[in-house]
Amino acid sequence: MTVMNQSRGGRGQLERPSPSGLAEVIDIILDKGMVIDAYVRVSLVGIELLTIDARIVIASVDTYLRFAEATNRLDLYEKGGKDLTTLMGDGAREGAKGKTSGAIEGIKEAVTGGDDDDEQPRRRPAKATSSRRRRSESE
Amino acid sequence: MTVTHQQRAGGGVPSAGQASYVYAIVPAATELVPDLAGLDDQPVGLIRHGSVGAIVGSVPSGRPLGRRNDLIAHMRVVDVMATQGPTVPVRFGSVLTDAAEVESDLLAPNTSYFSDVLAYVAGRRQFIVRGRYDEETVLAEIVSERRDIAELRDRTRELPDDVGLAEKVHLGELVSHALDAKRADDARAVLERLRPHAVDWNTRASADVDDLIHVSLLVDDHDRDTFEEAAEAAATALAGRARLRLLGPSAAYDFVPDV
Repeated sequence: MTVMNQSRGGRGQLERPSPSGLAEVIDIILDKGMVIDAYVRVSLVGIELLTIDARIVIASVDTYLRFAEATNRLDLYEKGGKDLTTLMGDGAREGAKGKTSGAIEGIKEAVTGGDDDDEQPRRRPAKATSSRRRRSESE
Repeated sequence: MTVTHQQRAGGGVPSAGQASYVYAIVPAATELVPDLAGLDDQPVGLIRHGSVGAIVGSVPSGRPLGRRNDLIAHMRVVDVMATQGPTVPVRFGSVLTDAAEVESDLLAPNTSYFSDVLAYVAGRRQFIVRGRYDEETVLAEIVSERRDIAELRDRTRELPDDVGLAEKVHLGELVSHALDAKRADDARAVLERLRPHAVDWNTRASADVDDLIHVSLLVDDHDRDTFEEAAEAAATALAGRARLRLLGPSAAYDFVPDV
């Protein structure tokens, strides 16, 4: 992530993706805009499923377990007694990055089906079995 | 009537077996952008009534909508029109029977209302700001700030996967709630930076667990520079803990009331 920020160059920390990825497009237009009293016919293959999915996943025990897992995998003290302040620095975080499995990324993967193509391509196939099924349905 | 408006509208007017897909409401005086392609790469047209008009295209009747390319085409048309002038996005997937119905059922009954909404969005564009936490950093913060969580973590971290499940769920629940509290604080801080430069704003319900903030803001064109500077400052303030992403300018998707 840090690397991504740097590679964007120019003006610093703020990311300005061009909204061409499906995730951005959905973000911007889905369920947005004026609802007209018309014959509205929308068949959003897969997308509604994913939205519903998100609410379920967030509240589930599975989510809590993933949070617990990620918290437990944090490498707070093991690296030669680094304290938290050091860990928060970019360098230490990069070191920890490689070995820490991301609960949040994993959950996000389950929710979005990995369509967020501007994110770093961390895939977690083992944990997203139910969403993987939906993902293939939506494609 | 139908004939008149089909002539006036030019491209994008449906023929038999076709329906009228409505992209946006614009002022009647709007110039169409040459070669602007909509759904199925079909040209878009403009149907006018009084001071307002509808950007429409042709889709086969009964065609399901919602594929990736459909969404992208919809957004492309709306956002290109928004670069031309006031544009009220119509919700994705809105279809009327034909051009005559677009005029008689959509434009005619709502002319003055559409004029008001167009006036409201004139000279304004929408931005979306989305913040996402850096997972490891924010979890480390939580562990360091919360002794109960740190202790529970110490107790459960060496346990095998299938042992101490209840405690692990409890740990996760505590962490999840701590993250909610952190999110509320951080989101408020971001919003306080951005709000002074926006006409209006809507926070969006966030679906992803690592969301820090997801807000759309309506920004006057003449405030755009200061708004973007404020967004940059907010991103800098969060650097290392979260990433802030700015989408836009786009049409005012989140700031148009329903008919």
